[in-house]
Amino acid sequence: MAKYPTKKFDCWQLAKEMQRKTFEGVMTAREQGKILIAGSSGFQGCFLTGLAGADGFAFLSSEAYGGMLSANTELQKECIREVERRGYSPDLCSYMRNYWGSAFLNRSPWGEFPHADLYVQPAICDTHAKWTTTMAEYHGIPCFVIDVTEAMDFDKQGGHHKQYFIDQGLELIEWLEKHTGKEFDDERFIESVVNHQITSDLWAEICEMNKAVPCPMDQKSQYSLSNAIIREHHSPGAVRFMTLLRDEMKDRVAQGIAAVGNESCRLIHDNCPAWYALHIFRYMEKYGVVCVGGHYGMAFTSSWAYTEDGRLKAIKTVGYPGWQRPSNWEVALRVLVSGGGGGALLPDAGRKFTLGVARDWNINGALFHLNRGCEGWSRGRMEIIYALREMGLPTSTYEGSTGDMKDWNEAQVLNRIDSFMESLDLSRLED
Amino acid sequence: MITAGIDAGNQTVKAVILKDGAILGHSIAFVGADTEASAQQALDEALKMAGLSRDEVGKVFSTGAGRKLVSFVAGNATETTCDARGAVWLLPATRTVIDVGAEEGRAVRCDAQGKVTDFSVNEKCGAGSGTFTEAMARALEVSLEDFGQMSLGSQQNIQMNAQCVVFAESEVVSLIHAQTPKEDIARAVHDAIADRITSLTHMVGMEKEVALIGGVARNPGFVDALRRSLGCDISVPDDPQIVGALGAALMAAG
Ligand code: SF4
Repeated sequence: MAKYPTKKFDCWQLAKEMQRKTFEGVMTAREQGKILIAGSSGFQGCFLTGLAGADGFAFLSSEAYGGMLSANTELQKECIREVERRGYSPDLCSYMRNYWGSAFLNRSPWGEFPHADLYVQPAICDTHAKWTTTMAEYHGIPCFVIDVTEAMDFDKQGGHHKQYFIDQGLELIEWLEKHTGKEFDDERFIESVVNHQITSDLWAEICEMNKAVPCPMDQKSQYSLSNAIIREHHSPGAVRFMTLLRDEMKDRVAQGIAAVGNESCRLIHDNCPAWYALHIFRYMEKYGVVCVGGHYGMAFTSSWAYTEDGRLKAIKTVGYPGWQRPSNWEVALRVLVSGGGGGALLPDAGRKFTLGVARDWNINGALFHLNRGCEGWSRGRMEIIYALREMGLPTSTYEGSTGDMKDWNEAQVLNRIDSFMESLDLSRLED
Repeated sequence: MITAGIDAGNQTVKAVILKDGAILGHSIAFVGADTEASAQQALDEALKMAGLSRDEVGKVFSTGAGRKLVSFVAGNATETTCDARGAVWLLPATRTVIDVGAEEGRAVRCDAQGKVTDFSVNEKCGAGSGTFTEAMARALEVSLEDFGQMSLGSQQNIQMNAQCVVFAESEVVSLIHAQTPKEDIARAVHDAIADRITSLTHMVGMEKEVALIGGVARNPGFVDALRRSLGCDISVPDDPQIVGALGAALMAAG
């Protein structure tokens, strides 16, 4: 009999339904007379809401789409092959190659490739700008790239950096108005910024509850349930979903509901996983392992801060005593470039964040995906591993790629995991 | 109690028979298309050497890349775990085990009981494995045995830049055309593998004593290169290939 009770997430179906609706919205945008805008997920959702209202546009999140193709083993192979056939290097970002392949083949999981009307892209890693400018040239459509030189860690950069972003935000508003003929609405923008803050607060709060023993949400579920904040963190729908999930997490913690019934070892897993091989998480569960989180996932759109002694904690950026709703669009824009705390792709931020998790989330070890398919999240991972080792935490690595199965050797990865489990004194509880 | 360990590797299967702290028999067989049959053959040969029949053996454990393909065993454990167990049993002062086999190079740090405390594996790059030496010996048209011995006679230190088997082979050919003595080329090849293995070893935080096991440990040219690269002495047990199988036999004994 299992040590702890387990239960599927009640809001699982809702998460799936939201995802289905988003992609349905993308595929039917034209029929519905909506503009389809593509680009990697970021704060541009707030600008687009300011422009067209939460329901007035469809947004194709290029990373969510790239991830979906990565998990689709058949289509992935064809997309990657097509991109390489056209002479692009196999060491480019695998999400991008999948996306490009899908565009070049004019094929998606639901029919034709969803051709966007505009690209709006915050360049939070080296790949992003090239991703969309190449596609915009290929499709002959306009593209706006926001230069985010320090991977969203605006607070660290101080005034100039924020101002640089704000100036680009102003340009973007003018550009969007010009290319869509629509008028930007300050109120809608402010509303979406507040929604963005609320979902960020909720996601950090949710991930913080994973400190509990047993762990209420395994990392594989975390990836699926975080989709709403990746795609539409600025929307009222995401606020509703994250509120439901937060409440459900509270219940799970109160009732001692576990993600893994025989939890006996808690690991950090970091870097984006190989989406076509998520079964490695189930494989580890057979050893009683629950992966509780990592920088990739927990630090998505989320509100974190550090205490004076360096401890990581979820914070509230909305609704605390004395909080004031942004009074105009410029204040809202400044709010948008504040907070975050996870520092997303910055290696230093990744190390600080991961050490924070290692300290307070009851962690027994860490497993890192040495991911050939993503430069952004791979930066600085070895330094994080060394920092964890210095802390005395057992770590191990496996090689692969987020979205290119050519870089995956299942037998070797499982063998590596077996070795790591044995070194942690774990044996298989079931076969 | 009599136990047996089987190490089903990529090129060979090794078997060890163990009784009350003594190795009674051991064997090495090439892996054919049927791993199970090769494992059976290796076990039979080890039993023959021990003068025992199958019925007299209690538990059998397997290890190695093909460990799950051997169905007649009571349990299995990874090479990492078995290497550490076997090496510390043979050479009790060992705290770092380096295993260089046909297709993998591995560094394992362990405690006095042979329990793994950290490990690192090179599995995707040929430059950290025996296959690399074999390919380079072929390029020089010498036997693997001569290749190892030959490098000890090298008079000058030359650098090999390529770390990939394919590119290294063409570099070796260029060196031959430049009339570089074979001894120096052999040493350069061993130095290249040794440097790769050294960086793996430093990843786990090398702790003395260091033991070298696996098929490549029988190559004196590589042993010399690794000693120089690590900057310390390394111990090589008498039968370095069977240490993983020995570890499996020890696991079977409990
Ligand atoms: S390299 Fe990584 S972070 Fe950058 S676009 Fe690709 S998947 Fe995203």
